[in-house]
Amino acid sequence: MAKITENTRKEVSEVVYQFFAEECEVDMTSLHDGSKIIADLGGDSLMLLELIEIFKKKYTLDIDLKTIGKYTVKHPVETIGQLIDTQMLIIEHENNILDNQK
Amino acid sequence: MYEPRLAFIFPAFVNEYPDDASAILPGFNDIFLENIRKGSEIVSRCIANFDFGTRNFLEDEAKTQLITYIYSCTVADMLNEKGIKPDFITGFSMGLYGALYHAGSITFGTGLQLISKAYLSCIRILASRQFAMGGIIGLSNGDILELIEKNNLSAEITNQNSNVSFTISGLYDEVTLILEKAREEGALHTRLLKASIPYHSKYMEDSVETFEPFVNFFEIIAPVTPVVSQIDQSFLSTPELVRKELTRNLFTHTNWMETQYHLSKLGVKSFVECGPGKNLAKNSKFLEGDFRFYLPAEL
Repeated sequence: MAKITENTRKEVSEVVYQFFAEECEVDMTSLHDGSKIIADLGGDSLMLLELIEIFKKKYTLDIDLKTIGKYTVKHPVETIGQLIDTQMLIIEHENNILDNQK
Repeated sequence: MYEPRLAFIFPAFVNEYPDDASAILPGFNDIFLENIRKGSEIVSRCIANFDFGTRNFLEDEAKTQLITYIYSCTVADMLNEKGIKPDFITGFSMGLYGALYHAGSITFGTGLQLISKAYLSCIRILASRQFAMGGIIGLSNGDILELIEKNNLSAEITNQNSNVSFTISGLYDEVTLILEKAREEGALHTRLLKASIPYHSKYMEDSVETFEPFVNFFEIIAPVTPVVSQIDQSFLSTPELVRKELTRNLFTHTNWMETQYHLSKLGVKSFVECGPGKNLAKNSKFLEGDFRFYLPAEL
């Protein structure tokens, strides 16, 4: 389980914003937490999968893709902000993320 | 600059088209529209009114296949004109026709006629039953097979894109049920594809009856550039093998992941997706290997 520091959210946000700016070919300054990944940015599910893989490597996470899938059924990820929130929970709880649902 | 060896890959039917056709390759739009005009004289379906702005053909599967084919052939021809020639060629699903055209095995017009006839052959055997194809991301092959078995369904996994990305084909009700169950099981994403024909499934076996004689009607020569089968990764090196591939492609499972790995083993380090969209390039990020995808304009 990765150690969460006050910088973790900042790091995650930077990676996510930079990723969508490059992949969706948009100016990073036009992105905000409310930007809708599919509707506003033309993103897709493969991008979400790629981000999951990036964070798995970055924080050496022990998390099954199916666990994330089950979590997102109940907590859909539509915006950049929701993606960052979900990613933070994954980093904090890894495979126990389902035990920490609201 | 790209590294040898180079492979051209041809997508099936694509629904994403660039807003700015001039960004694809300089002069692309004029040549593409001229090829559309030529194509519309060969096939009876009206594709002449293609417009990058309205994309007015996207709700018609047959037209989408024809447009994708023409787009792909145009891109590959233009790269060829620039002296960029692939060492290997392969087609994703119905991208087989574009692959065979660029390999010199069939003519531009034959490709268009084969696409139209294949579509009609498939539609004819669907009768009144409703079919579908779906995509599942985030489950394994075993997970999906277990879902199919557990629910006593006859739908099939008809393509594997990576270890966690699959295409299924079958009866509409079964495909939608599997997509729903897959999500419950933990799939990250599921979606119905814009296809009413269950390509690459057993349901299409009867298409042989009408399609095979049609395939035999055309002159087909051995590919000049090696073409790799998406079904079993063999080389389609003779006219007989090409004819067999054209027919079995409609009802046989494919494996894109194995095809790309096979090309990689053959020494391919550079891939060009000769078509609209970047789906195959995006998918390749989940495959291991020392290779890179290029946009046509980057070469």
